[in-house]
Amino acid sequence: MSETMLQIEDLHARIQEDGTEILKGISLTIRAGEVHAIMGPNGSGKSTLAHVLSGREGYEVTAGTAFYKGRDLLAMPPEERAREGVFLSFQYPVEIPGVSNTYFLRMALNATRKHRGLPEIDAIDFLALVEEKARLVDLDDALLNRSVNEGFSGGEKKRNEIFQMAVLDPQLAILDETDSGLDIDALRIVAGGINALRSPDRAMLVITHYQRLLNHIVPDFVHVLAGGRIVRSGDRQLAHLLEERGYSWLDEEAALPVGRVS
Amino acid sequence: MNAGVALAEGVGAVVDRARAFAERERGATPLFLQNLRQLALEALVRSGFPEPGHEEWRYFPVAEAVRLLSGCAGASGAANASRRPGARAALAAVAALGYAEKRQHQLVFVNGSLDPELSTLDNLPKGVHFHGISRLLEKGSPLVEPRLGLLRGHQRHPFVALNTAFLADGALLLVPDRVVCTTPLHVVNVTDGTDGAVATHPRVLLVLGENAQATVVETFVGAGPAFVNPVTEAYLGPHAFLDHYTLQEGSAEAAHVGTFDAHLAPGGQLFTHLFSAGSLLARNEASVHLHGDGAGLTMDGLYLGRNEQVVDNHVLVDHARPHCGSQQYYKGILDGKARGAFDGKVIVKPTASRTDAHQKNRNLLLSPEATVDSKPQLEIYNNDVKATHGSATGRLDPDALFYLRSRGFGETEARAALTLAFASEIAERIKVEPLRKHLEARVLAWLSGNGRETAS
Repeated sequence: MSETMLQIEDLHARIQEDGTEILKGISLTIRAGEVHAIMGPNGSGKSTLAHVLSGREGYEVTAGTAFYKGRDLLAMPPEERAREGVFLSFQYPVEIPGVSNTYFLRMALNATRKHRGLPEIDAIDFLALVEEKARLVDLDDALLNRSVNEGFSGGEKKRNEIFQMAVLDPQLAILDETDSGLDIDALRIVAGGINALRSPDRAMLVITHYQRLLNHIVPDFVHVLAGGRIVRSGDRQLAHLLEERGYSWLDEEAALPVGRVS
Repeated sequence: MNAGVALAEGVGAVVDRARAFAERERGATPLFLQNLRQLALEALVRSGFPEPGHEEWRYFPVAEAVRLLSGCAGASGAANASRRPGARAALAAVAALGYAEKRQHQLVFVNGSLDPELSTLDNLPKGVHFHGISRLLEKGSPLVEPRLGLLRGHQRHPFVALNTAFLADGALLLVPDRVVCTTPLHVVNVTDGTDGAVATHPRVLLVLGENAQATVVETFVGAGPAFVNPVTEAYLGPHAFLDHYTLQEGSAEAAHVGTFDAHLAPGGQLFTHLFSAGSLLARNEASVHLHGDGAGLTMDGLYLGRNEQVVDNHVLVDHARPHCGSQQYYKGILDGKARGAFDGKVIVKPTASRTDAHQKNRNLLLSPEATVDSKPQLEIYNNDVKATHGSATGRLDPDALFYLRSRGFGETEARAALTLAFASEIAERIKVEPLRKHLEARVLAWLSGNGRETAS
């Protein structure tokens, strides 16, 4: 059996500021080569899960564990998670005026390389790598020299995320609502880029509200998140079921008391 | 001692010193300069130093600066950097600019007097004069008299009056009509107070003829306690172009009260760049008079403050004629308990129709105790005007910080990248390459806490 990339057990998390509990006991195991999709209605905790796994401030884990390749993920600062090979594709990529896209990416790549005991990448090799990966998502050269995401359209921002993922070559990619804000063409390009990065060594966690992304990126497993818990797991057929029937039919199931078998 | 008493005593002591100075120098001074010093001194006696609460000085601790001034002696001792370890150390802080290697046209002043060893004036374009003022006066040159003090700053401004009362040396640049200086001209002021607090009053006079062009860099460095009171007067002829840089990296024990005053003829184009990181108390004042039709002005500023530093930027743009354009963009980065200010006023006079004036000030606060006062102001007396102003003060964007960290940047690296990005908008408009590189390195060193606290 292939290596376990991510093992989440009974994860509880709340918003630090007001103490609202969002994740109420999530368990999930993802192995190398697998693509898992997490679907769920608004407010079900999808983005919180992505944030907690990537180390964003503002959340407090109150119970449970998350191990990445056998190491305690939650104990690592965000930069260490990145350097260890965890990548988060942002739902809302941040604009950073004054920091050029290529400078940013070279710094990011070299931080990871240094962490792994590799020398800094040669300028010419870097250029070649960037050109190759930019083609993957059809990213305009002009965008590479602009400030990170500044003035990018919604689609360009998402393509830039997948482009960064391609350059940084992570082992676990968490894609948070990567389809949101994309038109049909952009969706096809972004999904094409993601599919090209599927590999037996890499695991992906695709978080999405709609099934349409999963027409392009066919997941091995689908989990339904509702009320901070995974209420259903299955194969890709589950996604189709959700598309047909919506999320409402799950509400009653989610509302059932947990742990009581009748 | 309250501020008012300190100011009155400060004026008294300084005026006595200025009288003694004028008396001592009388024999060696041409009559016009004797008169100018006298007029300035009388104006200073009349005005005194600005009292607390003075509208134009509300963000600058004048009394504290004057106390520093009172403790300073006039310059004495060697004016050669080679014989002053403090001066050499101060120059080392701007090593990237190549002053020690005499890489460019440069006039270097040590404690207010020209250092002939470090000054180089070879191969200036034909007709261009770039000299030490004291040398010109000694030779009885007619170049100084017609313009010096013509803007009458000494009648309006107590610290310009103070500078003029002690006026003895400085730099004069004269670019004749249609002459273009392609390489930058540097005026370097080194203030070495390591063997006793010292006050200097350097003067710069820039005169550009019709269609003349020049780039001037004024650099201030120092060591030990000092009061540095420079005044620059610039006259731009019709369609002249001046790119002017001020690099203020004075000693952490110094007060720097600098005044830049410019007059633009029709079509004159002035671009000023201020970089202020040094001195305990810094006042960077600039007044630009757009007195010719179609004159253009761009003013960039980048100021850094940390620890207990005060940095007060005071700008006046005077639109007096039609079809002139002006834009200011000042950015500040403040850390520790530093206090910053941007107090900028644009006056559009009734005669200045079709004016296009824009002011922008942005500040980045890196610590909870740093503060800034931002006051962009427009005073418009003409209806046919396009004018905007804006101000924003904030902290590093936590979302951007997280974005960088999620890509592998360490927290310190992420903060540095974002702060440098904030500064880069101003830095990248610097056309003097070594200066731009120096500045970027300086911001990074400043961020990592390796910024020079004292030069010695």
